[in-house]
Amino acid sequence: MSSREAFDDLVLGHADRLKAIAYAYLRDDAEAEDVVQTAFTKAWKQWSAIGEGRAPAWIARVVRNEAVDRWRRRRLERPQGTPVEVGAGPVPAEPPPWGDTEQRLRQVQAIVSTLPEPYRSVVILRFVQRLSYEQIALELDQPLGTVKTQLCRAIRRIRSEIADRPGEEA
Amino acid sequence: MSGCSEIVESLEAYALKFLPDGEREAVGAHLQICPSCAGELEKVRATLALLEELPTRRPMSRTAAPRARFPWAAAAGWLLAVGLGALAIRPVPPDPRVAALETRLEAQAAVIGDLRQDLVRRAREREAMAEKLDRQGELLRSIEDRGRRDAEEIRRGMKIQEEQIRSIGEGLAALVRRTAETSEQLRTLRQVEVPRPATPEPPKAEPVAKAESPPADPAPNRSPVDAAQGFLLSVFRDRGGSLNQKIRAYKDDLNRTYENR
Repeated sequence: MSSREAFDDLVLGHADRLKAIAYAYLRDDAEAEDVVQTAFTKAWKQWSAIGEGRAPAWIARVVRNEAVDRWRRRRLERPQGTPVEVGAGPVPAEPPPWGDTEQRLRQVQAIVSTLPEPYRSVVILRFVQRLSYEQIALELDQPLGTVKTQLCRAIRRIRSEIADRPGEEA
Repeated sequence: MSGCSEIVESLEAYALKFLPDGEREAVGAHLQICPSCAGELEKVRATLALLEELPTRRPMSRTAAPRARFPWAAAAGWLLAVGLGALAIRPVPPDPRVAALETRLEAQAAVIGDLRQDLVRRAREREAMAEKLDRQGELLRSIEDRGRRDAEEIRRGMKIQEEQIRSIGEGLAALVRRTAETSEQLRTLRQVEVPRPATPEPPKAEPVAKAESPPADPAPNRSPVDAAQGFLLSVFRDRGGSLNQKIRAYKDDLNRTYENR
């Protein structure tokens, strides 16, 4: 397989998955796609150095770093207190504590995207990227125990956020 | 509730099975007797269930539109172009129709390439055929030239032969004339001999003796008729020697005959 074909395969097989990762950080489709495209461009430029086998993990890392960078830049550009979420719908008059599944899912997504690091990345690596705890430890260059502790704290934060703003529309 | 707060702190680890066996059993035992903590565990599990439902894929917006055969292969090409161009410029998403058009263009380019090859091949064949025709034309021309030369030669040969035939005919006519003259002379000679029938017998016996002697030494009383006869015999019987020689011999014979008299 030529490097061009291998690259096309990477794009075809991973674009949607990579976009889900970027979206988990940014919650903006256009920005998430920008991040993915930037990552692909970088991947192609360094294709021979990355190697076909390592490419998916490499490009996922680029997507994560790029997403975090963008999220930080966005925070600097926007005044404090401005909602980060994009496309937020109207808040229901009497929201039920847990709402329906769709609504709760959007709520969790919103909460995850606003978690402070490293909790956000641990959650995304575990539940969006679906890595094992060992893989997460490698990715974040942290001991396995630290990763587990961070994940537990992240879940507690999410749980408390849900309790604090029940049914809030993302 | 101090015991409960400790338990609550461990509920996430408990739900994720991170706890070592001893701790796990302790928490489990507390949960059996504490509905509040059990309720909190349910919330932890509900949160985990929600997190488990987080989408792991999010379709790229352009792929939501009807796809071309290889939408992302085209997108990869587009990304590559953008990457090599300017990273700063935010690219416009590629239209799937562009990919379809590209595929069609490629197919058409392939067809054009095939046609061009076919044309080149045909042009070469035509050139080869023209060369062959030229060669055949030359061959025909050279054959024609040779034919013309041969015909001329034959005509020349025929003219020479005609001349030869004519000269032979003339020679023959001369010969006939001379023969006529000779026979005229012979007749004249015979008329001359007629008034001399005086010597009847001896000449009859003499030719027998004469026959044994060489012709160069004729008998003294040999007649001109004998000479003529000898001449005629030499002309018609003896094939060797030319007519002139024979005539000369005949003349000498006649002279000798008349001298003897």
